[in-house]
Amino acid sequence: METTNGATAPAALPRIGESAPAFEAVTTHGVLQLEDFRGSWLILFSHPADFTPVCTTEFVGFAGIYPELKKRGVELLGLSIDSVYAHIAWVRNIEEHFGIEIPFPVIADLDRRVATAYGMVMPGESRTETSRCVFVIDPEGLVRAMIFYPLSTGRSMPEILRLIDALQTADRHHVATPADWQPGEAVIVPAPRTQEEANERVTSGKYEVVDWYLSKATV
Amino acid sequence: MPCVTPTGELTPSGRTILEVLVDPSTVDEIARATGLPIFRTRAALREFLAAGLAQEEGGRYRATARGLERLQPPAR
Repeated sequence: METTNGATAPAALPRIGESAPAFEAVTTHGVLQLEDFRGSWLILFSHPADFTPVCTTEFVGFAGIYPELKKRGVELLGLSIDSVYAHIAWVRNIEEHFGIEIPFPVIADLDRRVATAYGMVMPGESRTETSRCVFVIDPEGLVRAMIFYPLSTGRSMPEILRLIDALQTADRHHVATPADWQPGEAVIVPAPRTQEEANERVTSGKYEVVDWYLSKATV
Repeated sequence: MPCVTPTGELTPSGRTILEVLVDPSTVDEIARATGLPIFRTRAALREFLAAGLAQEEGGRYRATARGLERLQPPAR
């Protein structure tokens, strides 16, 4: 599909709750397929370009949260429209300057196949670089969350960790999480769907009830 | 990481995985034995299968005769 900016857009962009687009790509860890990550959570994220300042701070940040992500069963996979040689040179440069090894693979998406499938290029901002996109993909290969940041704004690593914690908590306990929720805090139980359930909810004494439709519990 | 170099030699991680394949093993067993993530293990096995260095039967992978040959030190 041709956009008003003249760029090619995929027929359908990934949507929350739908299967993540399959791919096979050259990475700094060899050729990888999305299917290789089946059974693990995956954060697929793009950055605009190697050897750029904001991206460098983000890679240091992603490497910093990598151990915490691993504890949660989450793998990281980076991407930009750069060659694998540029990626290798950049991660070695980061190691030299920051003493931090980049432990996760990075896709060399020179043909933009993955970037296009995931809608990572925002032509209104840049036609040659991927924006700062984050796709959280669950162990069954479903897209569970998406974050899009512009070129000018580095992402928040605590927020990415918090998002993973919230998704995994929601799955484990069949609950939702309120604004600014942090692990250990009360969660929101699903709202009642009938008058009978609503009456039960406010009288049961099992929950912290603000009103029948907003009740919290500790899990 | 790739397991076989463009010149056909085993990489260090390739050798580590192929050594485990001396005994038929599942993906999980190989990942545990090598300490590699599952995704890396799957990618490596795909590469070994394509190169004819390993074969799969009933979800277990083992080195082929050609794979075992690659594990031997080069003849002097």
